Amino acid sequence: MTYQVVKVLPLVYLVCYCDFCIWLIFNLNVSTGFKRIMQSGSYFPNYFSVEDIIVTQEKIPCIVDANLAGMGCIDQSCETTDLTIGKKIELPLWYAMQFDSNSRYKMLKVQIPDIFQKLSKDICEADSNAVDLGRMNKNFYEFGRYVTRFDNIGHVGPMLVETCRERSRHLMDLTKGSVNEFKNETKLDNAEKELYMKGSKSNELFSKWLLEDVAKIQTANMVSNHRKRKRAAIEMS
Amino acid sequence: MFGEQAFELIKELERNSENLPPFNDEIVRGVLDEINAIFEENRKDANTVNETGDRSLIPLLMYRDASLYRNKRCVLAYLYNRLKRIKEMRWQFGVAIPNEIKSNLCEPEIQWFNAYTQNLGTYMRSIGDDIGLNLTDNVGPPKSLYVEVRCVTDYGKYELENGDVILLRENSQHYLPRVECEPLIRQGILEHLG
Repeated sequence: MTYQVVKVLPLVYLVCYCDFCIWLIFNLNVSTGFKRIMQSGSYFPNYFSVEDIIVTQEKIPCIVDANLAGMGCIDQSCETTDLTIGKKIELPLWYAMQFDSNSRYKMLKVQIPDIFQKLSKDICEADSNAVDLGRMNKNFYEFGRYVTRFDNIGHVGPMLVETCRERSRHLMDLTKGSVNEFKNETKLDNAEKELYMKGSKSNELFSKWLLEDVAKIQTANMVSNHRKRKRAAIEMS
Repeated sequence: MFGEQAFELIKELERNSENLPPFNDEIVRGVLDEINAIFEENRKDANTVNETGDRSLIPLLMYRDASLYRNKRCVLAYLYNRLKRIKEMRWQFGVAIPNEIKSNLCEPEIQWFNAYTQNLGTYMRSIGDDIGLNLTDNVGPPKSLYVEVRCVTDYGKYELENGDVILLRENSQHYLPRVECEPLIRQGILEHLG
């Protein structure tokens, strides 16, 4: 039995870990082969994805590169109706996305946000586990993935993969604890948090299976949530 | 900045990731108005560009166009993700969803739920050698025909398939056929004792 455990357990992690890495690498601009996919559209993984809509709402710094008539309304601090060359503004990704290096229109120059700049890169490379990713940006990887299309030097992509690779080992250790024990969630970005939840869930299921726990019929998730909510409402009143 | 209002809808979905918030009629209407307003403005300016050949307005037109699509995407995603949750409810709560939740649905959503229930019912009756098969039963593989259960709420009388009537009172324990008590366990009336 013990032998089996030793053999199977790393496998469970490996699958989790590989999934995540493949997902990340696949979606990054690291190889030119994927470049086409990246630029074909913003709708990842699908048009209705709530997560993707949230990421594309992130603000990204831009420099105006042409005189834009009537576009003062875009920036609340701007008092004139027009935008003039050289003005710095922050725009949401869903709009700035049109102006990547392949774009026909050169009205805006999109900058790399501070969190993906050189300094942050150094920090991430020095000790990525110490970085408070969640505080830097809740959607660090997803946001970074979009930033790669504005990154002409090409350091953001590899940095993301490297950061993820370094951090996932630490994440793997975390999953050995139970879901409720872990409190310091701010250190993780959303994708990592999800991975963490999945990891500890499968860990739990696995140990249950080892103990040959009989399959219990459970109350449906939504039903028990609804009941808890109702009880809380009654107690409040 | 356009699109802020529509994004509120998405934030609302994210905040309540486990339950269904009330349908936000006000904002949805607001976004639709915004879409119409943007479209009207754009049409006006596009005509001017066509007539005068002045290309300086083109960036503004493009910006408004992108906002239109953004708004559209937010509203559609809001509606679609709500439908997905409602569909999930049919499987978890069964045919009858609690009134508190039902009041959060808007009229077309209730219609959709009823139609979905009907479709699912028709399908489940049509399979399983003409006697029908309830797909919401047996979510996990059964290990025994009978299970021991404890009653969590005062449910009242319950008639079994063989005609026996049992009284389900709070904290009473019973040994019942699995088939018959599984729906009750799923609805949180009984608790399965391992």
